[in-house]
Amino acid sequence: MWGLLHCLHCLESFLDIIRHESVQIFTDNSNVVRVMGQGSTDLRLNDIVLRTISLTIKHDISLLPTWVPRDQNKIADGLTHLEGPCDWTLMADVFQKIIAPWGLPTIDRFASHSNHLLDRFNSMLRCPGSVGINALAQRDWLEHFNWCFPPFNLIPSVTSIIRQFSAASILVLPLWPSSSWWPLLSKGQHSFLLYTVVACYHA
Amino acid sequence: MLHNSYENYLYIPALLGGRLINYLDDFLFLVSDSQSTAHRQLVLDTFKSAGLAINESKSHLQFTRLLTHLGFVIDLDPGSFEVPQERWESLQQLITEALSRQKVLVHLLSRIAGHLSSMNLAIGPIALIKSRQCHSYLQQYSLQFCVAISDSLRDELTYWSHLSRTHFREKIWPSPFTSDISIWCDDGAASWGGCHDGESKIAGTRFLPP
Repeated sequence: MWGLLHCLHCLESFLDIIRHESVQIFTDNSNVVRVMGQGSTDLRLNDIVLRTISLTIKHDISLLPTWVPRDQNKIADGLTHLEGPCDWTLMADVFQKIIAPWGLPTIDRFASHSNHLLDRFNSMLRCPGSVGINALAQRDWLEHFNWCFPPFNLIPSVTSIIRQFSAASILVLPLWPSSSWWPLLSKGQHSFLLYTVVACYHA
Repeated sequence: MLHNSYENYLYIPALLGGRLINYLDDFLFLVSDSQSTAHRQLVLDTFKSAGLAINESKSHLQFTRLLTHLGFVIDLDPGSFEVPQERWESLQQLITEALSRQKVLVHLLSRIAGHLSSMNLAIGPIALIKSRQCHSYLQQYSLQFCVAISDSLRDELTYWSHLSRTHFREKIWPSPFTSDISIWCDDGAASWGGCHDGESKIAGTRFLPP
């Protein structure tokens, strides 16, 4: 099922490029090619095929699923190893607790299709539904109330861009006073307001 | 007798410079129109010498570019297969009957699924893909069972009820597919990735479909 779903994600991710075009999509999963062509008695699979067909009709795309040997699919294969344990998100109740005093942000700046907390979101790479790739390259920070829960290595860049745009933002950080970026939070004319939320994991 | 005479049939298209398509005792001769009259006589003579009688009321012995053969309309002008009007109406009657009820016999769903599957040549893969709800009932229940129509099955039947016969015209000679864009995709143990012509890259983590 995953292979079929991921083909659909690929098409959705490249929608701006493939609209009104003839597209050949290569996969090393021969079942995906077969099921795309004839559907499946597994109704979950068939539903994905129908969603794919609807997408191609809606956006005027001619689609040809094609099998390739695994050794000719190395770039896509390499990309499957990019994300994993670092792709985190806040639990919904913690998110609600944090935003309660300020209201709902309008954009999730560091997210993906699988973990976004808001309808509008930016992502590191293309993914279905993303309104912009690489939050730090976006120029619309001032137009939004930004929700930022960035990877820790990006925290200095994020504090910098929030200051640059004077953008209303909620920035979620680890409580880490000894870190190199901690002094940046109180530097300059506009310092960050600090709030602490203790999140407990419960299964 | 059929075996002995078969060589004669195979010999005909070679003489005509055309093609013979046969299914059991149904024969379709594809020849160029310039010599069709001579070819017609040759076909009739060969059948006669093989001892086979032609059912003239069911046969079409004149050259034509539009013909119903083995349940499909073959139209050489657009080069397409189409579903004959009476078959389409028969399908629509069954669907209307099913949609007018809350519960239906699985046998009725079987007939609908059978109709759609048999139209695959003219309708294309959507005939199978968009009849899977019917097929799922056939897998679960015997034909005598009476089952409630689920919302998804109703959606599937409604889809067909809104379409006209001429909506579907599969090409007899489809043009080779030429792609403007190539996309490669792969899925790993916990994530997926893809790239477009080796340049733009995408990736994501698995999540359950809604």
